[in-house]
Amino acid sequence: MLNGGGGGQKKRNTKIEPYRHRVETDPKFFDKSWRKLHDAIREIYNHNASGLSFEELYRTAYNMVLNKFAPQLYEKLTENMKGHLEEMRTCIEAAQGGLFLEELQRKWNDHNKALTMIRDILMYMDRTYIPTNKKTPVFEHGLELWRDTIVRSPMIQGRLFDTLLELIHRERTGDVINRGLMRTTTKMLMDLGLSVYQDDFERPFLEVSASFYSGESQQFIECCTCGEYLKQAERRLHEESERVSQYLDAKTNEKITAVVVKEMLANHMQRLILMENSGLVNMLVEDRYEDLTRMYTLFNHVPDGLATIRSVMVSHIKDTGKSLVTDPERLKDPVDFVQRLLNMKDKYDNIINVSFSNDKSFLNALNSSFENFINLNNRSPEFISLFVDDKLRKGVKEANEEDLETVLDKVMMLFRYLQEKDLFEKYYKQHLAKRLLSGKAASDDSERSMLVKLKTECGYQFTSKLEGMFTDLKTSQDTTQGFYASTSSELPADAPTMSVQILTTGSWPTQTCNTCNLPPEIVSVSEKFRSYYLGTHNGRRLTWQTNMGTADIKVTFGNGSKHELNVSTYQMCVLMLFNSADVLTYREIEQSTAIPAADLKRCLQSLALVKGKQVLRKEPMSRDIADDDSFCVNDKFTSKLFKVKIGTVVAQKETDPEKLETRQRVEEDRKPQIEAAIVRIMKSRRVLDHNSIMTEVTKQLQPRFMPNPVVIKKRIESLIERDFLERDKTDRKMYRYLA
Amino acid sequence: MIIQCDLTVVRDPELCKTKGGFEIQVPPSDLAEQFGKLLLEEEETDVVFSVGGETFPAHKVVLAARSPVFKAQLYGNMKEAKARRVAVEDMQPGVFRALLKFIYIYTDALPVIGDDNICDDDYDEIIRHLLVAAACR
Repeated sequence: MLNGGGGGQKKRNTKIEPYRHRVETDPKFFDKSWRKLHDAIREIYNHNASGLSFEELYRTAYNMVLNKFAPQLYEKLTENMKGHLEEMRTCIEAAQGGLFLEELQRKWNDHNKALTMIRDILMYMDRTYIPTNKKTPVFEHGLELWRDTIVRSPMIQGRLFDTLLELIHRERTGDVINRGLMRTTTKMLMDLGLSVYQDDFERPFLEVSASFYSGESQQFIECCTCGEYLKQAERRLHEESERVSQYLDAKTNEKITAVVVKEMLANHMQRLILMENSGLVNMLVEDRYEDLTRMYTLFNHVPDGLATIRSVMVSHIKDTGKSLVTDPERLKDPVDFVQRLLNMKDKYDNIINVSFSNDKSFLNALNSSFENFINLNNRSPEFISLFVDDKLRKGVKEANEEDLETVLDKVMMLFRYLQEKDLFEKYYKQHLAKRLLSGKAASDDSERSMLVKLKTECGYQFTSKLEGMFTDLKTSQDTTQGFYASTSSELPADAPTMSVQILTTGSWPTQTCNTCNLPPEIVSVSEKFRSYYLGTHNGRRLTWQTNMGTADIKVTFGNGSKHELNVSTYQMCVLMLFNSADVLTYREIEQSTAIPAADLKRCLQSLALVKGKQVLRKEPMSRDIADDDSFCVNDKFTSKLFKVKIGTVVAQKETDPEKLETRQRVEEDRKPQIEAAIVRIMKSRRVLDHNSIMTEVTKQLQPRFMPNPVVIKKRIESLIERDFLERDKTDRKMYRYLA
Repeated sequence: MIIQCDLTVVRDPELCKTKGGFEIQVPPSDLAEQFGKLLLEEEETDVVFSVGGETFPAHKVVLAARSPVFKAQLYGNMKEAKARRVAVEDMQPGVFRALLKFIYIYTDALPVIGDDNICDDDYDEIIRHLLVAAACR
């Protein structure tokens, strides 16, 4: 009910009824109306729309729809547009050569403009009749007609794609083409529907591209180095991405990239990576970071690409490392040996960091490679310890503290790879002992810093004995001071000054106990020290280790020259004999000093045969020492220096017998550790089968060394004999914990 | 033996609470009234419709915004796009006036047209055309 605005107005009783328009009775209404529209459409296609009246045309179409002529109108429209498109097709087909795409583009623009206007005129039909009857809207219908009449016509379809692909081919071979025209043409295909672009252009484009790159890759791989080839492949990938951004659909990028990757990289992966003289191995050897970066980046696209690179790198590192650690020449210089390992590690760390994006899988591969080859040489633990020994002796003399710290950190990386860390510990203990006892440790801070690193890596137990060594030295200082404080009044004024290092058994490397005859002057002081020490430490036992230690001796030679000699304890024992004898035979010296023959001969060689250090003279002057050879003081000895150091004790690479002895001692030390592990496991499990024990013992001891299964088996038998374990009565592979 | 106790008392912070809840009163929209005035006062018009002997000044941009048909007509490629005077046939002046009011002022309701001297027959036709026009929105 609607009301009038003013009072007093008559109220209207309006009822809304279904729409009833005046029905057109003219039998020629449709024909007249369609003629009007038909003529207008022709003018539109002939670029003469500016003279038309939109109001008139819209009203005409509107009235046709209202009078139920929409189906006929739609059909007539279809026929009419098809006719115009066929005319356009004739013009396009007649275009010569390079003008083909331009003509196609021009006609496409015309069609779009016409379609827009036609759609506007028929807007009422688009809104009413077409949705109701599920027809295609006018604009989309026009596009479909263009697709079917022109793009997919027999004479145009093939020519269109040949032309497009030809232009792309020319661009790939260096020509400059009309990219704008390419852009509008591919956009037309996309406007016609994504499936048109994909089916009618993209698929043949990808096929032709695959063929192109297959051919090019064959050609290049025959004449290029790997680096050059990859650079070309990279360039092609960039070009294709550029092309997509310029005039193809964005979704094509992934597909064309896959084609280039497959044809230029995946299909030749093995050949490229393994290429002689220029492949991955050569790149690694020559530190070609740029090429390596490119290879990593490109093969990232290839399935298994990085896995293959990693595999080849691992093989190369293992081969290089193996030849390094097994080269007899390299084994002569442990310090150089380890330095080469460090350099090699630096090299590959650098490559992975710079070229392989710090890829974790490559870092892991590098680590497992090093672990693999370092342990091929069972002397690696000794050599690493000798390297550390060399650095800690030189200390800040050669490098500043920070650099030393860096080197030690890197050495720890190598240490981490060792499978026999207990063997390293054994050697490290020996070398540390020599540094500490000979005063060759350059920096206490550096020594302790190294100890902290080892403790961090392997736990307190690993370094507890090593720390005990430092404690002993500190205690020794205090004890020596206490000794002199309490006994200074009892000693003769000219008594030699003695400094004692008290070494706790077990903390220090095992040494054979060699006593020799000390000079009387020394014995008097040492016995006083013994009395003092045992008096203040009840229940202890003191044994002199005369094979260690040094002495400073003041000497006046026959020619009147005076010098202070720094010699070993053994050398001191020998030299002191000449205070009461002018000439002594080897046999006499041996009897007087009781020094073991091997040590004594080495000692005498240092005193008599080293140029510039010959404080003794030997008859005859031969290298070998026989029982009847005689020695006397060299009265003609001269030296520019007042202090002369003779026969410094330096850590040496072990001889084979020594090496064997060390290894045997390590093997012996492992037995109780294996037994302890077995007992710990069985105590917690109570009952366990043979294989599980083997597995768990290995797992538990692995951080220190890789236990030998045969040894584990023997230790199990031993524990059974000693009633720690017993075999299960029904299953002989099962063990039970006793006690 | 001496025992020392340290006591720390923690209290809630004594901060003044900020009064919130401000609401800005926005006056009701008078957009329709203003557009109505725009039509009524015939300011800044850029097109004139000629309907049954009467003229109706109007604004292209308003008509285009409100009706795709007018947009196609006034901003398309045919002669009306360049013309200042557009002839409308087959329509009563009163009907066209009502159509314009509908376009400028109303969004949902049918217009109240009390002060026009429109006979009942014309009124019925107005309703029908307005429904059609609404369907084209």
